[in-house]
Amino acid sequence: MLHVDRAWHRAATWAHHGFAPIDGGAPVHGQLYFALTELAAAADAADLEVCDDLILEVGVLADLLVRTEPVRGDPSATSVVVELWGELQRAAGSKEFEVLAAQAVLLRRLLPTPARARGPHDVPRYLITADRFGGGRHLALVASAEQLPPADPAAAFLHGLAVALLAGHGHLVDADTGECPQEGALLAVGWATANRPKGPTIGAIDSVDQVLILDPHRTVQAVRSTGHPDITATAVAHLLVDRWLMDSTLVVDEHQVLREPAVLRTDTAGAPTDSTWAWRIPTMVWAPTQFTDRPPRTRTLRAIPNDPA
Amino acid sequence: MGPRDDLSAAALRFRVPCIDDPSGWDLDLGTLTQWLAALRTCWQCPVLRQCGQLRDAHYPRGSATRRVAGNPRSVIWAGVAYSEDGSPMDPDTLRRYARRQGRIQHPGQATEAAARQA
Repeated sequence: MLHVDRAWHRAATWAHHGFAPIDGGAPVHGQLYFALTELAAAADAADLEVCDDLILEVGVLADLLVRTEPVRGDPSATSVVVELWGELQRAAGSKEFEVLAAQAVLLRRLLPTPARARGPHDVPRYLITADRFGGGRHLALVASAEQLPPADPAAAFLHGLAVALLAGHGHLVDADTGECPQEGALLAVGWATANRPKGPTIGAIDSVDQVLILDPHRTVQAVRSTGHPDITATAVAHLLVDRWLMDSTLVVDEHQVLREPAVLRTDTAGAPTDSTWAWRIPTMVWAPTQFTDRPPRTRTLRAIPNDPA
Repeated sequence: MGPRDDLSAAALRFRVPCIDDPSGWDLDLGTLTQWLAALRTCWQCPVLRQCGQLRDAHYPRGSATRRVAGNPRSVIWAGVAYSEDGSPMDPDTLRRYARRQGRIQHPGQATEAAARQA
């Protein structure tokens, strides 16, 4: 068994001297402060999926933190960040949620309390599943276009999307084939028959990953036709991301980390296309039989040629 | 005004949980869950600075890096957990300390130490 006797220990010294936060108000300080706050909340709820995402986000932000003043010019502060980040990852890896939450709060002590309100590039407040669209683990089944929408705005939009498909204001294609979804309940995905789609293509359904991949503007256009004339793609995107109902992307460059409430489109080989953004919403937010009348299938192995260059 | 007076005055303005019920800060009692909760309470406490000053006044030879006679023992004080020999412990070290002491309580069960004694 290994024992360690340290002549110096930066993190322990920082603790002994009162956990003083670093100076400054760089954007990354606030972003990381909020991310650690929500990581602690998600760990308190033992939400492994969200913890995984937030660990990833904290890692991206911590990397920027150590490359930004004052931490960049302070080896002691860098040592503290690296040690606390390592301990946080260890707790996450062993799924020790109590320790993970404590480590997140401890690392957050290093950061100044933000003087600003949470913004669009900050992680949204953590919500348990039941609070994400006004109650329940998923929407009620939308069986007809005449069904009344829920009062909650996020639920109302998702309900409106299901109604738009039923009413033929748009259709979904299979994410792999680009044709009629084989596992889909035809009317629910906007097809009159297997050869006859209704309305424009607004997106695709991936029955293996169980997600919808949607064109934001075409989707909003379709939902507007169901009695929501004032909605905008920007407002809807931020609403769904804030409710933890839709995927988002951290766009990382040398000096900043920005949040895009969408994902990059990829072609069938998995490569990004022309930087067009898409909405990616898990089908589990709807009733289990909303878009499919069959159990999920597995994806067959698909050969992708190497790049000859 | 000395450290004790400074802390008392500050503590009177805020209802600090460790004064109401110090048992969660005692490493001879309680469980890992309680100890981690106590640490989090300290780290968000508005009188953390004054509490640290009081600790330093009582333990002027205290250290962050050595097992010395000058550190508190078996207690959480000013956001730092100290083992039975006065070694400061971070949350992961505290977890391992709790495991050795049988102070990890699983949901619906007694602590491992209590189970061994039963």
